[in-house]
Amino acid sequence: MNVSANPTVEALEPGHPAAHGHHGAPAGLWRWVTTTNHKDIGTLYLWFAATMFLVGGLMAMVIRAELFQPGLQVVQPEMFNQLTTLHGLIMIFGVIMPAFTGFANWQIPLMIGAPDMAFPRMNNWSFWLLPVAGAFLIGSMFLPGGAVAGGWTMYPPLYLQGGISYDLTIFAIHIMGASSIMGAINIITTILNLRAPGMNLMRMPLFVWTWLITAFLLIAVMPVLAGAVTMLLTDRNFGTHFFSAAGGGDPVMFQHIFWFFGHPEVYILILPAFGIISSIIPTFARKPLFGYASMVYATASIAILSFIVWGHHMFTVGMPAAMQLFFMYATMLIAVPTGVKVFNWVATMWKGSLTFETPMLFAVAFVCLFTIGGFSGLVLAMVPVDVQLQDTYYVVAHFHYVLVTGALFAIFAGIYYWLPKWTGHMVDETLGRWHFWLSTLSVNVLFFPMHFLGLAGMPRRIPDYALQFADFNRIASLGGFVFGASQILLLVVIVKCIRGGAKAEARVWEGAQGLEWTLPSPPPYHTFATPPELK
Amino acid sequence: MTELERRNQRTALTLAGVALALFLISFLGYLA
Repeated sequence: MNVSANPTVEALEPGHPAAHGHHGAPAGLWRWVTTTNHKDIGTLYLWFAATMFLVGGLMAMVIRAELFQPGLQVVQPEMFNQLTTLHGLIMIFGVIMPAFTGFANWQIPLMIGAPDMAFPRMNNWSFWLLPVAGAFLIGSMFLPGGAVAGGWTMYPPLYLQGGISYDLTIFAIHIMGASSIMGAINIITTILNLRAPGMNLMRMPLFVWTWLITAFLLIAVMPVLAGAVTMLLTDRNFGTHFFSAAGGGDPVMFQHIFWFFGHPEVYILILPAFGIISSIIPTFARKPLFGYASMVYATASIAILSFIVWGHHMFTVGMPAAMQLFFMYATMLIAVPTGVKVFNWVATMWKGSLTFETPMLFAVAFVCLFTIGGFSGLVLAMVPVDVQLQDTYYVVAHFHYVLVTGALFAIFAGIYYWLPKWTGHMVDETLGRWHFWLSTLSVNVLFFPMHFLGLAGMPRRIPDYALQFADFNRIASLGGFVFGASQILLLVVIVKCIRGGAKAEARVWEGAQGLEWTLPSPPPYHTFATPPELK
Repeated sequence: MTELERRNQRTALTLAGVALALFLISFLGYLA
């Protein structure tokens, strides 16, 4: 993409340099509380996600320590259930979603040549709601009765029976939902209205496209989740019986509403990952993305299909055979656009001048390992198979391949890819490679044996298990400990990169294309005050 | 208010309206 000039404030307004006081970042803690700058808010989102990753990760370590051998060693069953529930809620709403929103805040204005997000003050508010919600979720562990323990899916009747922490969790979900909806409105408005002249929709980087579609998904399903948990709230506190069978309500209805939100949510968690990978692979293959238009259409197809597959989460709940068949075939249909994407990533690499810096290593691992998660999803889509495997560790293996080696690996790849742009320093490649290899080897030791455990019939969400499951659990736990410990390397890489290192050029990676690489590294506090001209 | 600000506001209000409608349908719609 050609740009006529280096479009920084300094370049566009000679005599009014970017380093001039009011154009730079204000100092002190107050800067972060009051900031309306998309780069600051992106940074805040990413640090929030990192903090929550530590909390949710520590919970996972306790879970794996308990499952290291049969019997109860580390925590009581009540605490175990709280840990699995909070681990799920924190990783989904506190890590993956905020991390991708952090990337969106940093990258979307830079990629489309906008000066900032469309609603900077709402952007600040969207972020600052999150720590409040996170504090409610984690803080509920210290309330009488402990935190929620009924699973992240919040099914009644369990969720109608718990203590005060259940109300607090519902409140936290409401707050996070409001934050997500405001964030989505901001992203859609920015992309639709603030693109630089010449940046038409089909010229936008794929990361922007995937986020545009993700934001529409958020607008469509977060209010439905809000509706579902509001009904839980009124059932619990205001005498309604939406989901209480004793009062004529229908607990299964909650599951339908929840999964009408829940399945698109899965794509909210993975579509931005597709965008990041689609940015990285062309850079390190030194070729344009293969099949750009088909990538856009595939993303849109996945998003549309995601609304008609929710029933596959409920095959064993009870539904007519015709419905089971519909949801089964609709689910399998998603493999087609997803296959288009995997094909295009491989075709982009085909005969490219490939180099394997850390972002590319994570991107290639993403393509291989996410595909394993996709395939096990296809296996689970088959009704007769799902009837056998539902609520077993096979399901746990499946969604961890999708969300850890999928979404999380894309986040790792994105961090290694854009961190030099954000900080102005190159990352430590040696440490990055250590982080990659340790993570990639250990994550497979952690999650692959779970397929075997599930096939052998080990149920999920249990703190103790029969002796025949001991060996694979021990292997998985060992993998988990190494995977957890290797994330310390990521923290070291990030802190080192922020504090110093080799100077990064404007175009950090030789093959990188796009507007963000025309800006200096790090970019000035305000960028594209005047829109760049695209040729 | 500039034309761009007006456009931004229209986009945002439309999206917020859709979100509110979906919330009400999934919540109050169940009563009907």
